[in-house]
Amino acid sequence: MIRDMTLAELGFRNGVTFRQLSGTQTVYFPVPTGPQYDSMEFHLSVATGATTPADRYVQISVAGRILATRGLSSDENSFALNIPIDAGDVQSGFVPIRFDYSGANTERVCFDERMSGDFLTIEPQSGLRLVVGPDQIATSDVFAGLKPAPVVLGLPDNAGLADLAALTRASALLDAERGLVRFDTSPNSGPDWTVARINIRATADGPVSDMTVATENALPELLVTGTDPQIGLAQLLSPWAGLAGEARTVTSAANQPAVSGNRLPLAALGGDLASRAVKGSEDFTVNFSASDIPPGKVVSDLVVTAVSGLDPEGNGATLTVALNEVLLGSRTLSAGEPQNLSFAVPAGLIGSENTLRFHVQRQPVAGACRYTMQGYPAQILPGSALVLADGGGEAQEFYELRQAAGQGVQLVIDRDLSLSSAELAPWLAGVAGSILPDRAPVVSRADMAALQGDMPFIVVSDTEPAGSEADVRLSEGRIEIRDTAGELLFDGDGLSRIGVVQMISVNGVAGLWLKPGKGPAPVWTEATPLRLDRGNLALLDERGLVLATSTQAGGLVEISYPDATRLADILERYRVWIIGGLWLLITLFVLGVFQRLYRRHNAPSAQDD
Amino acid sequence: MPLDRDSEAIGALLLDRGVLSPDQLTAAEALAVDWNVPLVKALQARRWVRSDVLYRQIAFHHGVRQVSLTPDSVDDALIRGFDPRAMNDMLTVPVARTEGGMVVATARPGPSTLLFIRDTFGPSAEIVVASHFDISLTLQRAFRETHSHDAVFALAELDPVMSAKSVVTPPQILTIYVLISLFLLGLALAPVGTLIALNAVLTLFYTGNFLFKATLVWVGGAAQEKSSRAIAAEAALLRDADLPVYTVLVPMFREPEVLPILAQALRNLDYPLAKLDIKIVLEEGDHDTIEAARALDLEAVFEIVLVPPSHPQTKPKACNYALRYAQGDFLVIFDAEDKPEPDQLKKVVAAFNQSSPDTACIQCRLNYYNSRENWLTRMFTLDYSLWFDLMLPGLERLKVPIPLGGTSNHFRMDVLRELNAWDPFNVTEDADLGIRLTQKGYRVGVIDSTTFEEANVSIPNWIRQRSRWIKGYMQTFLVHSRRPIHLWQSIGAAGVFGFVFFIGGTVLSGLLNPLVWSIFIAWMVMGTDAVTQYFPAPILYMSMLNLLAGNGLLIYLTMVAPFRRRWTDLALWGPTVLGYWVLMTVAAYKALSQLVFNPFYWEKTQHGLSKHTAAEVAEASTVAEAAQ
Repeated sequence: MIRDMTLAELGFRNGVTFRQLSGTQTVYFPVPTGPQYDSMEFHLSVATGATTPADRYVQISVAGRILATRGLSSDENSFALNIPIDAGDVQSGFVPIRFDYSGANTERVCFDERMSGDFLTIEPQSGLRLVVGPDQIATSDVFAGLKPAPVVLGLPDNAGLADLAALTRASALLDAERGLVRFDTSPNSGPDWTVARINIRATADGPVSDMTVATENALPELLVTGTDPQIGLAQLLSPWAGLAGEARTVTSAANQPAVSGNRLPLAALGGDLASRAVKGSEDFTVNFSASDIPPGKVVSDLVVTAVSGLDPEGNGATLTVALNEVLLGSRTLSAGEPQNLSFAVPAGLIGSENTLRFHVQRQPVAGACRYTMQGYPAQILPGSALVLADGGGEAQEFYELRQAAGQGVQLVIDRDLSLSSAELAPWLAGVAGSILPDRAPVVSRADMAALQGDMPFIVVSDTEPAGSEADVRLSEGRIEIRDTAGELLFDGDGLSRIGVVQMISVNGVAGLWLKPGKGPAPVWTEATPLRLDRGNLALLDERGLVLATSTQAGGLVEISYPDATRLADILERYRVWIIGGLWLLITLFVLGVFQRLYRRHNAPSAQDD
Repeated sequence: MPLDRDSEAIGALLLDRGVLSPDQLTAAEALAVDWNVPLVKALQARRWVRSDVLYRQIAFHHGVRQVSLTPDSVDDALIRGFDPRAMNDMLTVPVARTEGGMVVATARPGPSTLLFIRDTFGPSAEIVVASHFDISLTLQRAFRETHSHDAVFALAELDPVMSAKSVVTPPQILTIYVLISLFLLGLALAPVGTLIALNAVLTLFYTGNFLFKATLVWVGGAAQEKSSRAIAAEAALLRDADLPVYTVLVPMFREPEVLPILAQALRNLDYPLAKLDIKIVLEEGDHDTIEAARALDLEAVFEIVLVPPSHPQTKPKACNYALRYAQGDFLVIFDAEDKPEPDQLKKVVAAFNQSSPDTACIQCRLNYYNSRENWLTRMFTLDYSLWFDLMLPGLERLKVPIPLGGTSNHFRMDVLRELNAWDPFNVTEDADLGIRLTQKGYRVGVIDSTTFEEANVSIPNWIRQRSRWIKGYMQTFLVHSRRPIHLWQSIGAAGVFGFVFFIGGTVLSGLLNPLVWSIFIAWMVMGTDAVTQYFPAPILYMSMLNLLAGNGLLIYLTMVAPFRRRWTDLALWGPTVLGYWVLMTVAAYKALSQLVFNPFYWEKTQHGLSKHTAAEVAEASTVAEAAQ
């Protein structure tokens, strides 16, 4: 069985790129230590180039050992290398592979590195090839550690609420919104293990979650059973996966601690805040999701502890902070020691997925071809944090629901839904993946009346859920959705084929209503993922996300019901006619008044005559 | 000044014939000297001599017949041939033609009357004496139709643009129509933009309204004290002998129970009773009040004027009618239940003396004697304290037209007649007259003297009263906005601004408040999304300013308003003014409805409901009986 683990799969979707004649990057390939690997090989695929002749090279080290080095000529555009790796290079479940890129000007010509026009890209298809027998993947943790990112979820034909709850949770855990979860039933076949199969079978009794690994068609498959199979899935994709190192793993609970207090440390958000040498400029980025913010909180400020080394002339660096590419502020780091900085975060900046970018810049001290450009370190220290304040209120938009769902979500599948579980799964998976944070447990409820507390909900139904007031109402006959120019986007049957996702509220609790379409379900991919961020209404069809908008303020669409009899709709539909009629009545009244005045004015004259 | 010869002779005659005791004569003569009036006038201010007895002695003194003027004995057509005002001033009427001339009756025989009779009725006229009451009644009877018509239509016929007889004029209809059409067009083409624009206008209006009121209080406060002291000082120095004759009009309708209070309050005035020309103005059909007035057997200075029935049956029409029989140099209107501060008339005379010649009216403050009876009376008191004590001085200082309050406005008689007095079609004729005075180049002053009234104790009664006031403000606004350029030229920018906010603002805020409150409630209940698109940032911030600062300021002003009178206990009730505003809104919509369907209907406010009034009635009746 062959398992190819590429840089793209690890998240380096564009590979790793270096420029300006220098750079270092270490990539950690997860490789469980339990199995006996038949062979391991690193496949390196490189694209390179330079505008000015320079002596350049790339060097590959594995677990600290230099295994390959290669000079780069200006003429060569690409090449490939296969580097064998020993089993002993696996360290703590990872194979660390380091790329060093370096170069220099020739002795004949003096030039500034910034003008070298060079680059080297480790292509995203570069990666580790593992050859391993399927029997070596015998435990759940090894399966989870080695499995390819794309997953096929297998559900029983008569899937119940617990199965669907597990499917929903798995969709969030396995990134269904990026197309990494599929539901096709075609059998896996070797020897390439490109798609992992996970079968879910909820049981009425027995352990909460029970996981075993089996081999089918020469490839491993994970079977998750139990009264609540999602618990095991959550464990496998958490830091506690290592506890599943037995042939059979029984799990009763897998919770993650909730964030408390009014500070959300950047370190807890997984940002790469390690010190870097800054020659010209460097970016430190921290990505976080709305769900990382505890429900009922908003980000009010950002406090940063940062330090920058001083150059020989005593100059530090400038730190510029942007949140989702909106500039929060800029400060100088001139003290040469940690400085506490504070930036106010305006309301409305936070979305579903957010990027906090610390841009450190300094004036290079070099030149005259006498010295190479020297970098001086800068670091965002771990004390840096997002400051939280009370606020928010009931979720109105998708990203707010993602935040509110941090502690879990209630799932209601309408019994009268026209779709089978298999038909429903692709509709539900993408939406769940986009809305639910990984840590959110999914609690299944029999119907809307069974909703409890203030936990948000997802309801899947063909009809408007009881007690809600939806923006797109399906109970009022034909629907027309027009753009702001009045052009018809969807109506009637066309609308029935597409899926409608909208925010609703029941008894003051926010939730999401998914009305699956009767047409083909959308297929999400890495290139076209489903992102439900701003807005409270989204339309989905086989092409993917057709439209996401807010119906409340400045929406992109106008929704009308030509057959509806609601007063508000009638007023809206016939607004111009009603106003015109009113104006006509007023005009007639005014004319009547003038006529009376005219007659009264003429009356004495007639008497005089 | 010593007594004139006629007074001395009549005094001696009355003493000789035992009509007066020596003490009474001495006292009457002293009064006549102090007040600088004939002895007869002084006696008419006391109830020592019955009217028929007095006039019999006067006739005897002058050697002429005394007659009783009945409808049968008087030729009304003959009377209508002469100037009614001159006859009223001289208390003289021709009663019949004779072969040689006419028989002329007078209640004031004397040299000046003799000259008047010769000049007017011929040298051969036979002079007879009739009582003041008979002369006045005869004149009213003879000119009943003419004066009734004039009371209703004089302003409308002589100065139609200033009359509310036409609720709206054709240009106003056209303007309103164009504005409505533009609004509807906006709603049809760009509803959100139009509503935002409307919202902006309303927000600016509310901001202007509260800023204007704050400015009034700020500007008015400083100037008050100094001028109050100066007027009070001069009033105290005025001699009774130098005081002018003062006409007091008291229009009443179906309120016989408060007549004793009124009579007592007028007697308590620090003003020579003989120089008061008190007209109790009653509707002819109001038999209960007429009977009650006659039964009180009031002093002769109290004269009953009966107003013939005609439409509209309003207080200004009654006052216009009574004005034809007024004899004073100044005139004031009191409501039946009013209790003016005793020195009010003197202060007004002093104020007129100190004011510029263009001052045509002095407005006194109004407040309530039953302010602590219930919540409504407390709120009414706070309202009046804010209006009269804090805002009106500001209006005066800024030279903004002052909408006169319902009573206790004192006029120069000549100006009042020049302007054709009150508009009988306007149900707040006093507010209208205040604006008209300013437009005609006259000034209205405000002085620190209070008339205490009975605050409404009943909410339905209050709403009736307030709806009439607001309807009158609507009429006033419509009348004076007919010629906007003329208005601007006559009262200036500040005047127009004040007129719009003080008259229009009072009306408009009452009508708009429910809309604004509804938006606020919608915002509270449904969250910001329901209204966000109609509130762009600048409007939102101004709306918040209005909501917090505007309302806060108005509540604060309401709380501090009673401080000038040291009624600090009422300040605690200030925050409940919100409920009072709700009542104002109810009244505003009732007013609007009446403006459309029944514009000239006079919503009668029932007086005498207060328990204080009941006690006052009992006390006043006892005093009256004792005096008899």
